Amino acid sequence: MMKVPMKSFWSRLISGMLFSLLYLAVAQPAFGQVVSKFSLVNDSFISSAFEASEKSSYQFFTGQLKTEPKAAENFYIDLSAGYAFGAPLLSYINATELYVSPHLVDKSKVIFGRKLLDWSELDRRWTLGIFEPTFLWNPLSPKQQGLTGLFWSLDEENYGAHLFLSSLYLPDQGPSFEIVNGRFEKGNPWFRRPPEFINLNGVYTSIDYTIHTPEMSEVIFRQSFAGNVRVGEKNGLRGVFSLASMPSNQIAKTYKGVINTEELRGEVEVVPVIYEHVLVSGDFVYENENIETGLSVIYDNPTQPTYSDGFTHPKFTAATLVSPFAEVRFRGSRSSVWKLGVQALDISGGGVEDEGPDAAEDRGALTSRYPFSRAVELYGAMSMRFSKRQRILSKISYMQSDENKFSVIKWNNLWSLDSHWDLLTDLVLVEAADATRDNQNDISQFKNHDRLIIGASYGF
Amino acid sequence: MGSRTHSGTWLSATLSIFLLSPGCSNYLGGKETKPEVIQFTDPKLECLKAFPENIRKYVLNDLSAEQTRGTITCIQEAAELFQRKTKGSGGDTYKTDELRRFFERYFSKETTVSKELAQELMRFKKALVGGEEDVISKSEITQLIKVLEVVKEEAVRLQPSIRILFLQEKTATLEEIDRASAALRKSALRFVKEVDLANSEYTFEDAKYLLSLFAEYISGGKQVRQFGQVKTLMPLIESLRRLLIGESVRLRGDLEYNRAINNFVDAHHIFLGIYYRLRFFEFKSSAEIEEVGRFVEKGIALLASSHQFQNQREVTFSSLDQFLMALQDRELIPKKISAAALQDVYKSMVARNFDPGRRGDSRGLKSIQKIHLDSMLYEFHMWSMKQKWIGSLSYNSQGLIAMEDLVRQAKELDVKAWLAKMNIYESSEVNYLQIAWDEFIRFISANRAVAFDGDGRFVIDYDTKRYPQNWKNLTQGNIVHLLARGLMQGFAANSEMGNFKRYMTGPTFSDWYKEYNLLGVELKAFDTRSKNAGERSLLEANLFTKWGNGDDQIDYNETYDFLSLLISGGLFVVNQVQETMADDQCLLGDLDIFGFPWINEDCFKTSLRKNAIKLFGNLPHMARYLSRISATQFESFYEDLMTAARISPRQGRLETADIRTFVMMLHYAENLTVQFDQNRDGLLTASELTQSAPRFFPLMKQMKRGKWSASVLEKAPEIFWQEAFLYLVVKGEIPDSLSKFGAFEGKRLWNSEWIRNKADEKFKANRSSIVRVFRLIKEQ
Repeated sequence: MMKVPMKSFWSRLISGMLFSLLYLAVAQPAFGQVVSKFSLVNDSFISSAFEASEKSSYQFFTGQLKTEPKAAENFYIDLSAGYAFGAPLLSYINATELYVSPHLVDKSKVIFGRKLLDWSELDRRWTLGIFEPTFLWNPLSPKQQGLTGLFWSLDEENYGAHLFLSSLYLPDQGPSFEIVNGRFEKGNPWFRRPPEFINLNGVYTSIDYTIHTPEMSEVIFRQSFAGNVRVGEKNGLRGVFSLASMPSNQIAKTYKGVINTEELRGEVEVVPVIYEHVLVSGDFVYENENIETGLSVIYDNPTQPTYSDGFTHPKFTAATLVSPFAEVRFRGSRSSVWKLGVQALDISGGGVEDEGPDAAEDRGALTSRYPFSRAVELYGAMSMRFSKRQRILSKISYMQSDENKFSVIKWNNLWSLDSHWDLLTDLVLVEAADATRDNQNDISQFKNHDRLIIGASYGF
Repeated sequence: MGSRTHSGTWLSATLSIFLLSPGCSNYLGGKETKPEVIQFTDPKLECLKAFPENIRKYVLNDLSAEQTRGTITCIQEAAELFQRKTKGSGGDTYKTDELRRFFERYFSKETTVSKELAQELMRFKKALVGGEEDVISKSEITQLIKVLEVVKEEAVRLQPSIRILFLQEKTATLEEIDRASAALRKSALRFVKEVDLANSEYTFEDAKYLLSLFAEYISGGKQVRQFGQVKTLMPLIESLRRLLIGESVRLRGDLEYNRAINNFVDAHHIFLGIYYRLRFFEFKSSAEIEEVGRFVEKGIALLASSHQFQNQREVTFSSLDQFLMALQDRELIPKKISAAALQDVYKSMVARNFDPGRRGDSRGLKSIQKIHLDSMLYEFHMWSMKQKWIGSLSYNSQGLIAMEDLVRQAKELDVKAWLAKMNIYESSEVNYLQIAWDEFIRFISANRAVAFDGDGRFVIDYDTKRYPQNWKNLTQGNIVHLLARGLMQGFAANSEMGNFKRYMTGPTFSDWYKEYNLLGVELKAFDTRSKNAGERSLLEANLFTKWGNGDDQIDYNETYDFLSLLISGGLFVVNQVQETMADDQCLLGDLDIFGFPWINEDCFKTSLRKNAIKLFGNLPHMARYLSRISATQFESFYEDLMTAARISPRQGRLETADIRTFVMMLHYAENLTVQFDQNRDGLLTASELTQSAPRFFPLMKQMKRGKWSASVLEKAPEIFWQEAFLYLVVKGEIPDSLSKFGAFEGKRLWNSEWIRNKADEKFKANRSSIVRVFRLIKEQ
């Protein structure tokens, strides 16, 4: 049985990273406007039916190293890592951005590294990982990561343009997992456990998994191209048009299941397959100090993944994603800033169906492209300053989908006690129906992952 | 600080309210997520559970053609699924035990595939698609799926006939049986051809074992008649295999396989014929007899075409013996007949009837050979040609045909053309049958009649030669001809060709009794206490049949008459008598040596007289005589006849042998009466008695001499014996006294026609006189 040595490798790496961050925090003057922050948080799963993990409460020590957003540095970093005590699979590293950017001429620069860009308002707002990969340590709260490669950026008042070229491909960063003796270990509640049994004629047989991990070079050395043009002012009416041809940030899973007649056990081979897609998007936005509204559209046309004979494989169709959005901002007392918004998403096409010997009518495909296909989200955010160093940042959102039969409530609070200490809470409540072949979404599998995070952080 | 406290409290309170609100509890109270499952289950495979039941239904033809296809498609899909969804210990190969455990676990919990069945299925697999016996590969499974396509087509083809083939119908027409066998033959031959079974190492033993295990599997431990019997039928099938195929169990090549299949289908066809038709026949129509003939001919042809015969030019006695034993074990021959008896009989027939050159010498004879089969077929054709002719005759509206017409039509028959209709062209056989036909004409042209009544009884009457014949008479006569010919052929003392030139003697007739003794005893026809049955039968045939002449041998005519009397009196009439005794409540509780109840003698006597007309309807004048004579006369008649017939001691009860002999003697007495009673007055005059006397001379010479000296008797002229016979019959006593005989002769002279012309009036004998003579003979 294959054992994926995730735990020991990542544990050591993350520990190393955290120590490095600690060192950098102490030595930060050398890096200019870089802020480092360390947190201790308790993450509790509060649903009575939570059963995916051995325990329902985890403690984390996290660190983040991030260049100040307003700093005009040639070097930019947004790197975070977390260490979960007693749950190594929950430890993580998230390199959101990391780049160097020498200025060529005014308003024009070349960037090398990993960088977030506004390729599509829709992708940014819904964090779907279409243009840019996502950090899916917690799929209920995905975070965008930048593309990695060579960027050219032109940013004039009334227009702008970006070009991106890369031979390096870094897909979505999903939850960690570990296979021991063919079984996925329990240890990361965010990891979507694949089917554990084969049902043949009403007899359920345990499955041993074998994942044929491709060579690293086969994965990362892939060509990507993207470009976009902005016409119009950033504050005002603008249109942003993007075009990309690149490997999808989601990886297709082809698989083949058999029953080993000698041992009477199921054996499933999983072969991850990277597939390309072509993206065309357009954002039409009006934005001023108090309002932002617009419509964002993406056309996503994937190629079909290659697969070996006898393997069940996903079949993709092109998708058109449309998202209207509107947001109002206003100021209140105590220097508070309020933000209220609504956004909707509708995906036409883009369904994924497994084809092949193990495809089943009552089960969705193992591969997922979009976490859901239609949703509406209401959100509100508030920033209230009590003193020079004290403030509360609070954001609450309610996302609901009739089509995918779920609703998610998120409420984040950050209370800055002083220039160093912050308290934070994070509440996520999920209600969802079971996924079916007709209702494929990534939310339903986490319907019992209601959670409450409480923690404190210290920043340098 | 205050603001810090304020904001912290606000945050905690808000969180608490939020989490405890009813809306929130909807989120927190979610149900557990159902684990995802990879479905290998194909709804179509639900049908596998019904496979054993469907096979049972198929045999009962309770499945539509579509359902039959579906059942086999189900197996194909299961095989395809297995091939696609599993991995064996060898990757693409599976061991027998793996397969068994897999199917037990996933498919057939209720009907466990035994280890033995799994092994045999794998052996069969090897025969079908090659490979090893203990391993099957995925590519072999693919080939098996193709083989199942052939099975599917043939299963549907067989379906309309399947109930007939599996003995599930109560009746079937000949056409339906033929159609079923033809379909079975076509399917079996196609299957063997498609899978190239002929070039495999698969043996009959393997197939037999697999069949029995498969039947057990399908039965699933339940009592399912059509499958439960398979195992018990195995010894029979094995013995049939030995009979048809021979000792060698390995067939090679298409020719041998096809021949074996044809043999088994033919045997099955014959069995179907017996099961559905022959056993119900009452033999009352030409069609029934011809159908029997058809199956007999098929049986002979099957032996001739059997692989054993084709391969070795013989069918061994040992294989036939085993087959008969297996039939007996399966109770497929009448319970009262043993295989041993049949073995004795067929061996006797082979050695005597079908191999005339041997003249019964069985040394070195261990098999049925070509000469035997040819002879068997000739004899069958001889019977068959006459039977078909009997069936083709033009009967009048009452179903009768005059003897003259019968003889004329027999003479007019173009034998060659007739035989051509029967597909008999071989010149030697045609000549043989032509001779037999000429003998037949000669037989029926003679001044004699063959007459049986509606109950199968031989009619003894003055006018039987003028009796019109019907189909039943002639058919019964044809069977008696067959038997008589068999006797003459097998047990004649001489070797002359032709029925009419042969004769049997006491010793050869005794040989017949010896060789057929076991069968005769089991059929309750022979009496184990009888020590000289052959000699006695020869004597009876000589003395009491119409053609009897009293010498020491019997020819074809005497044999024919004797057999007719034997069948009529000893079988049909006796049965009727016993039934009547039962009706009249004359039966006693004890059983006699034959297994029939003893009969109260007084009751018998009363019932006999009361029912004489009914019981002896085939002896109309005797029946009338018995019903008209006075009670005293009847008492005397009975006493004389029963004394002559009785074997059991006088204890007021009678056994079967007593009655059988009694009835036979009644026939003999009547036969003598009507043969010699020229004026048909029911009395035998002196002149009529004189005519009958010569046949009795040899017997009289063996009777006790009394006061006659041996030298006188030795030199006594024929007239002396004639007069002595007259004395015996008329006076009812042995002329052992010279004075009494002299007085009798004096009276004879006094009443002679020269003196008073009253001889016939004074010296007459009636039926009572004849039975008294029987008594005297017995007492001698």
